[in-house]
Amino acid sequence: MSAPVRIERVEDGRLCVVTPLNTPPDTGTDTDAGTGTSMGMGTGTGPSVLDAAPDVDVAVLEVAGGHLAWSVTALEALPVAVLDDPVRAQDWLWAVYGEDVAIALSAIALSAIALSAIAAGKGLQDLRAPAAPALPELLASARRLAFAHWAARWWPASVIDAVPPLDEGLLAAEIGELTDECDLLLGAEDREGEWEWEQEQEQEREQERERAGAGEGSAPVGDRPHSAPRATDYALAAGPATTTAATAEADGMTLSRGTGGSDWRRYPPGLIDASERAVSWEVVRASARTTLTVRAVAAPGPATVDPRLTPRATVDGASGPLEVGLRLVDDLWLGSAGLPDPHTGGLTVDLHLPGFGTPPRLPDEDRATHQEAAAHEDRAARRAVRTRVRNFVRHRLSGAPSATPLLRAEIAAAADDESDF
Amino acid sequence: MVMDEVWRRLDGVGPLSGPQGGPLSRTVKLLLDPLVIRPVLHPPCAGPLVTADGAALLATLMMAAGDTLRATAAWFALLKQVRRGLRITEGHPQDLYFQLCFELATTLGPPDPATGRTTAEEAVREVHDAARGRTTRALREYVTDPGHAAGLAAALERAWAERRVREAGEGAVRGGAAGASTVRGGAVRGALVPEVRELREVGKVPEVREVREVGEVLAVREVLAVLDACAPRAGGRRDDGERALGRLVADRTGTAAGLALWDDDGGPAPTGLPTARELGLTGRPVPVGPRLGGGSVSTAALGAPFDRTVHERIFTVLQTSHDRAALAPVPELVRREIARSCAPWALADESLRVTATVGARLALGLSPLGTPYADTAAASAGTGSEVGTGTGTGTGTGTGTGAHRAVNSRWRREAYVLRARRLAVDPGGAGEGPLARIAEDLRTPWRAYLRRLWARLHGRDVREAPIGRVDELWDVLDGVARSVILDHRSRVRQALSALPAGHGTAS
Repeated sequence: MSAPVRIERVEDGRLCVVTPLNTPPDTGTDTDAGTGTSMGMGTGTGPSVLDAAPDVDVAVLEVAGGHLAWSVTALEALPVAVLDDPVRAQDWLWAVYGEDVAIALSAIALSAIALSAIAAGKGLQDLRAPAAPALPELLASARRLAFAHWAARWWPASVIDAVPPLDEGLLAAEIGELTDECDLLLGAEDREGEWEWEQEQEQEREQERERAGAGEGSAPVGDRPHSAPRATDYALAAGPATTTAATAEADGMTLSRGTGGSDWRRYPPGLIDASERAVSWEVVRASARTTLTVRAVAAPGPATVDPRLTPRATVDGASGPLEVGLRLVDDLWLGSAGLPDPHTGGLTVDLHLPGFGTPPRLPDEDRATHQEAAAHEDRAARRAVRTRVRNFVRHRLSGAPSATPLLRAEIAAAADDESDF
Repeated sequence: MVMDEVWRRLDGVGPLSGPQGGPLSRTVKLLLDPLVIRPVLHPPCAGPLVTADGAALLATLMMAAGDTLRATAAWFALLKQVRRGLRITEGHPQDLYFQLCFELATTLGPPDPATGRTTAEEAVREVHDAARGRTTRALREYVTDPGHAAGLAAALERAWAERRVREAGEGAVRGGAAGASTVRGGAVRGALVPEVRELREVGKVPEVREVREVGEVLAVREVLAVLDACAPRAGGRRDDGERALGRLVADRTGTAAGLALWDDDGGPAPTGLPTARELGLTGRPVPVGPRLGGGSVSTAALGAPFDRTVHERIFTVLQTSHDRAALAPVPELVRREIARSCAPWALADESLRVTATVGARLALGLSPLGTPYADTAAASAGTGSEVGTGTGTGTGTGTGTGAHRAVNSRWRREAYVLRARRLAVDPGGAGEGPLARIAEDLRTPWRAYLRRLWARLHGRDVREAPIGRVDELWDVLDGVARSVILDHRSRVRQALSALPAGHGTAS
């Protein structure tokens, strides 16, 4: 394999960027529209840590001297590298991108003056070099590690879509092994930093034990029984044809209702079912009062999020935006609010965790006219990416051959799934 | 790459190799580079890329060291076994034993089947016993021993009471004695308000007021020059930075800035820094004399740097020290810490005080997660505005240095990583709860930064490792930025997690 890469300097020469130029087939469908402005990159290339914000399909890995980023649905492609310390990165550049790229980068890193002369003379913005990974097995491990880190945070676990959750313990163990395999790539120093931190934690725990008194070992945490509910348990709660609401509000009249998904970027994993049908809302008129009820199916698997952190729904489309707090009742997030007048039209319901980082907003020029159209478009694009990720994950679980072999947690989940359904 | 290929031709070096057969990164860092290839002696092998001749030489050197490396690998395997047998978990085995094994391999060859184990045990014990006498337990026993405690506490009180006089005396000698450095000395004297008043009464420091402003401007300019020159790719500015750093140290600007931190109004600090409280160095309006301490120490519940006890300060150094044997014995550590804790910046060495001053200026211009600090300060009316006015004058010109651009660029990339890992916190997030606390810290990023920076400089001070060049200074400043980033990430992870923190209880 010797695909060409582009090598360039950005941000006043502070950073070097290595961009593979073969557009991976999977990202050919231009779903990353609206991913944000990519600084100095052409379109059609993979994601980079210099983009304004990542989409939900980005796997990123911190390596010695910089970052690597892939689209998780195109892992077989070479990653985009952003290097803040190209000299340190020389430890692994030859292994991942090949000797030619390492030499080209060395030239560009060590002789900025020469490069600017070339650039001035020929109008060149960048250099090109053929990539030929010298240690394909290292690249494969790096890809798996990046994917495992991604899976730990974005795996679209859903009861409704029948995507079983991954076992956190299995995943963590495999991340540990892959981290060891990527020793050359990750470098000793960063690991040291990590180790220092871990050591601090270890000391803390030791002191805790000391304080608690000798002999009393602290109980192991995170060992809770794993009971994945079945899709059938939720069909009623989630589906638009649900009758639960009608029975609950026996005297009421349903004015309108709807179902949708949620933006995964607006809350941490483990809170909400990843399905596009996980969120439903209903406007009911009863005893001269109009009530909006929002329901969201909670994420399957053992609880992983601090119970004090509860999501909230932002409702648009009624008279002014409305914030509805949600509380967990069994496996459903529930919340309701009164509406000033009987509302029969459609509503937009977005879920988020207050205080969680929001994705960057679209530039809000022409607030009145463009905003709504742009928001609508953005919503569709987001949904398309989620669908792509979901299909990708399903494809993996189905046992179809993949460039990146299944992680142990995926194998376990797939097996679990078969026995369950 | 050449190294990797040659390495794979060596057999019997498995314990020093990674899972894929190449050398471990510590094998390269601790063994191959410094002990086998030695690029200083063999210039063709230096640098990340070598010529064909360099590659040939490198291969020759490595193959020639083959037997030694094989023996090193065998020793390492043995030492790890012994370590496990002795139930030692302290430190990283590769860091601790790699070079020791090479030494054993060079002097003794491969481990002798009969005596090897005994030798290995002795070696491992020696490594870990070197710390004997410098343990946290010995420290606690020393500071709580009724025979010492009262004397130590008295010494501490005395040192605090005399803190200004001592520094003012030294400052006056340097600033006043040399006529040529009067203007430069002004930078120091500007901050010594009470001392200066005192000294003027005895007629030692004339004409302070006239030179003060000039000195302040120059000091700020030099601090910025250092920040501009220290980040990578500064090019020709590097030399200006070296000179500026030299002058800041010679003029004791770090001392001057540190002295101002003892005042509640920020004082006429020569570098325009806000008060110690605003900087997050103390939780009190003004730093007070440190206490000796002596109870149990929880590193997660440590107070702000200036509020830590003498016991806590040494404890953390012992905890993070890779080589305790190189430290002074415990009574000496305590004696020095008492003096240090009552010194400007709670640091003894001037170059480290200057680094703290320069670092503070960097910290005030940080914009984590791409949120310009000035905007967030203005947005959060309550706590933000107070700090905003305190630092407003300082940050205006300070954010544009090379160091600021480099660190803020690092934060921007981290913002991307945090989003990609679903760990992003909204810096504007208000209210209560675990995320709001982190958001609050993001709005005052200099506090976490200075806390880490101080801890690192303090460690260097204890190990007597001053900072002489701008690239050393940058390694510290950038290293602190990285660890603040890692801290932030793990805090977010923990705040979101359902598992009880398991440590760092609130009490």
